[in-house]
Amino acid sequence: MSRWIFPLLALLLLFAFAFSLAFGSVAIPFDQVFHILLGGTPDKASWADILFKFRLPKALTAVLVGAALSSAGLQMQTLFRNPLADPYILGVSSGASLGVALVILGLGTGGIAQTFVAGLGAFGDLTLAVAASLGAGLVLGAVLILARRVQNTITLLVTGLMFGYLASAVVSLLIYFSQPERVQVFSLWTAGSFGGVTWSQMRVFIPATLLGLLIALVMIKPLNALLLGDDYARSLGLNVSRARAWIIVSASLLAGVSTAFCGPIWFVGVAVPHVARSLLKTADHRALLPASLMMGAAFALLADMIAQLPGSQRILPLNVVMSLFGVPVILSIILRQKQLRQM
Amino acid sequence: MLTTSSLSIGYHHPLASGLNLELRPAELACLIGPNGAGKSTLLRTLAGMEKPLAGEIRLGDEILNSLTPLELAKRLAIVLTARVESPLLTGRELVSLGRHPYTDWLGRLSLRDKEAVRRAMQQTDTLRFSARPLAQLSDGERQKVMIARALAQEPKILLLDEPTAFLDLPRRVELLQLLRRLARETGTAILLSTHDLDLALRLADRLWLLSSAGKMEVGLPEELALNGAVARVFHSEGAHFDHAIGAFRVHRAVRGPVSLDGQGHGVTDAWTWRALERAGYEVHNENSRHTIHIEILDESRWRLNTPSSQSEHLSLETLLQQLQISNIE
Repeated sequence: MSRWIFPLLALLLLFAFAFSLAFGSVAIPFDQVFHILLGGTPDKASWADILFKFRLPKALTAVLVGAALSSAGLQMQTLFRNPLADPYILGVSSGASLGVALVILGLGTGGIAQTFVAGLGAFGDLTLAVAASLGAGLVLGAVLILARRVQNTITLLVTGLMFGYLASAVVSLLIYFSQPERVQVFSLWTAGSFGGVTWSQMRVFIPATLLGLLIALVMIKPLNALLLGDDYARSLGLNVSRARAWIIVSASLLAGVSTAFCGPIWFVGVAVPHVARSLLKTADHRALLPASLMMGAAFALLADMIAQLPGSQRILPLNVVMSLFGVPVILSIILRQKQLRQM
Repeated sequence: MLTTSSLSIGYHHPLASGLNLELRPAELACLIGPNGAGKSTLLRTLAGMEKPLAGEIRLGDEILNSLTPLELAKRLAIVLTARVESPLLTGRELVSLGRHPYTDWLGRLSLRDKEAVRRAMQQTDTLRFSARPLAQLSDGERQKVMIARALAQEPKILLLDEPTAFLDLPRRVELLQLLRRLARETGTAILLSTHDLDLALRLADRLWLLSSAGKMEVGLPEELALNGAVARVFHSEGAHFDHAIGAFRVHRAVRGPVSLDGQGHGVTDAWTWRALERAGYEVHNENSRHTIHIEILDESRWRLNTPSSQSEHLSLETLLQQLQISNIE
């Protein structure tokens, strides 16, 4: 099984990518997709536009976000030795939500918020992303400072949750005092979407995500040592607090960046690592990380394709599709395993 | 190999201080002492996981706390009480993690690493668990794999915190014998803490006896039993260490003296003695005849003599019942 799993995953990913380029409100034949990508002139002029302006960045975003959230989730599950841990567990996405809520909902409330937002406006189409990154970065900084002082991983986990609640409370407060149209815009952002990332945003989005994945790659060996628990990892010569800090940086960067550009995407980060473990039957991160990464990317592409409802003009909220179609699939895979708590 | 000078251990308040200890190559030392005396703390301090409050620990010529974690991991390995909760890890994967200090940035095993893993598993007789996930191993099997993992670090010193804690008696004996053999064969200095005084007395090359007052006495097990050190450390209200038999006696003689004549019936005598003691009698041998006197006729027949009656019994249970009745009268 494990010998075939990587070629199979690569194939799945390739197919998912090709399909997501070909299908949408307008179907483009596969040969035309390749033709256009290779620089040829399409049969219909609009196809090139659709492909380059919408589908390609969207598919690329789905791949990056799926890979980012799955590897971030894997890292958090190992770090906290908790199967329910997800990329957002340290409150990063709540921080991002707060940043975005301040921009969308705080607009027009006057005073400092307005000046702040006006300053952000200078970033043009990056405004939301910058606000979200600032929020995520703020929480990340607080968690890192705490991680240096707190030896106990569970304390860190609880504190992360508390940060999350705090941020959510402020967001709720903002919603409470906002005009309905603004709330509508904000709730659209929380529904998640891969479609909003422009090519100019890609210049930030791609390197930031790759950096997070690179750190995750370097953390493979420490993550394996951490499978034995902090004390054993330490006795194997691992600088546990430093490794922990880098793992947090990697996961938060991955989760923060994807939240900043696509809104909070639920479900992928917590579920995909479990599927990877179930299929590969190993705890070794040298296999789990690449597998989660590829599965996450493929899953995000598929979910997005379903959300587009090919052939129709309607688009479903991404998070709805993730859960509605993802939960049964993943439950069936995980429930077939005898032990649910497999890490 | 491992030496300490004026070592103080504890967290804030010293649990034990002025420790001058030496752990020698190819030696199996057992650290025993009552709960809370600081056995785990001592082990963790020797492993560099806790800072000493005072004093110094040396590994050969090197000062332990000046070694980098990686250098230390190549010299010293520890087996802890905490259970490893990674049920998917196979035996071989777990043991391979012991090579962590030697492998490259991705943790890939070189030929030499693979050989070290194989040797560690062979020495602990765990090769047959190579492909088995941790979840499918019994406590004893798991403990042996954990020891193999520690050996894969190729340490000069191996510390184990309560390695026998969850094992049944045969498994405990087996594990201690394994460790003693490893010490002899590999030249590793092994120190383990245990609650199993009886086994420690039988199998340790050296006993480290830590009292609740924080005093450490080190010596041959027999020596410490003979000079009463063991009895002193484990003195308590309900039990005392009997150096004649090398084991604990539960003493609560509340029912007066009986004499037992079991000449020629060694085993039956010993178990009858224990049954009587457990029932609360103060037992004497045939040399001092008491008003209540028990004779062992053969391995399953006892005669009970009391001032008022005489009876024969085919089981210890009926003997004790009758004894209780006559005692009340």
